[in-house]
Amino acid sequence: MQTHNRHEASRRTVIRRALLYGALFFLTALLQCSFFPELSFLPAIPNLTLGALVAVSLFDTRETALISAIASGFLLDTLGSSGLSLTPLFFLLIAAVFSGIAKKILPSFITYAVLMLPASFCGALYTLLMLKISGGTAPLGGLITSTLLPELILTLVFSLPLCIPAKLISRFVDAKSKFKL
Amino acid sequence: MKFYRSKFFIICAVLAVLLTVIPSALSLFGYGDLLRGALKTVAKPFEWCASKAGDAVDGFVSVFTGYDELKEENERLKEELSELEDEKHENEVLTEENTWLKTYLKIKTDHPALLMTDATIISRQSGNYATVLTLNRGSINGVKRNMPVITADGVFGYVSEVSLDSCKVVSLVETASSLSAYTDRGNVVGVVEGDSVLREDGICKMTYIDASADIKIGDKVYTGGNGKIYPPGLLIGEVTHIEADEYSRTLIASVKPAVDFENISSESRVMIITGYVTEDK
Repeated sequence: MQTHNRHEASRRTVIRRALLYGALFFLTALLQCSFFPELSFLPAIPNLTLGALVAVSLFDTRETALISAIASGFLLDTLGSSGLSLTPLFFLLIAAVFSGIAKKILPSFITYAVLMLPASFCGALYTLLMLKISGGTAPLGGLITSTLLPELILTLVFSLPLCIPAKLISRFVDAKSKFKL
Repeated sequence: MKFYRSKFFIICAVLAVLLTVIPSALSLFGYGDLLRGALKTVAKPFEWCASKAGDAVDGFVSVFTGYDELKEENERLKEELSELEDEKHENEVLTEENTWLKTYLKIKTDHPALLMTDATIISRQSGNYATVLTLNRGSINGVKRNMPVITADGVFGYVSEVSLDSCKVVSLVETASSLSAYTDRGNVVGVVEGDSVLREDGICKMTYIDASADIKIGDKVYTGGNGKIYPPGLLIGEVTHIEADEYSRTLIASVKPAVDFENISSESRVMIITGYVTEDK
């Protein structure tokens, strides 16, 4: 009886996680692919999905972070890109590393902000890499000032508020509960 | 490190690789991915809403960010407009000048023996029909009394007074005007002179027409050249009415001048004939 109840609770947690994090990543992907590209006054598009992923890696379990990475990476590729894209792999790497770091630190807004700095840098580097792979001929120096730096700054700035919904969702789904396959 | 060797992590990694490689390969070879396509279809209305929201925000912000650019563009366009207006005015002046030169050329072509100087009307006698005008040419321009004045349409009148830089012109409908004339069709000769009554209607009369002369309404009347003022062959006007003179056995014809005296205005141009070679008729 107790085992059955535990399984039931676990299943409910999984469904809640899927729905809530699914909605969060869908929203961030939508903003990143459809809203921000329209804002011509911004020099680059912030990688909000990466910010949400780092937040989930910090406030929730590793397993949740990894599955979110694969799903959000695939979603971003579907909505945003065409041709070759390595986003699920890149996000998996980010989730694996940052969820490992998160185990050793206290999850808070400050630690999130600190983790976002290297994460934004990695995101901007990934964009630069994809630009080069897709045949971009612009000089590296120009790409750094026109693409890498603006994306890094904008991702950092616009991702900071994502800490709040991620933290709320993790509390709601009781992040301390173990995820079981 | 144990976690990275766990079954869960390996499955995730394999899944990530598959989700990267398969859609990318399909996309590179031009085949649509079924799962991506389905997801994109579901997300389409949300994408539309998000892009419209983004567009609205961009439009709102551009009001502020684009202000300086708009101001600069506005100044530039004002300058351009001012230049274009100046150009337009210049073109209008040139067009007017061109039209006048064509008229002058036509007169010269029709009357190659005439020596002319152009003049502009600077004032006119008040009344509906401008019968006495002041021109902007005077003795310093070589103008003398009794020089004929014509327009592209025909005979206007003659110079009655000359001062240093202007002159007065009496039109042929004035009572002081009198000139020998003939018709083109029947070669009827007579004298065209002004009349105090007909002048009010802008008409002059042709007198001393033989009662048996072949003259009809519509006949064109030209200068005869027998007087000291007008050279021969200049168009005076057209016969509009014929009646018998009650005091003699002659006819009197009303002649409507070719020049429209009613619509002559200041700034209109005329030609003063300063010299010509007479021909025997």
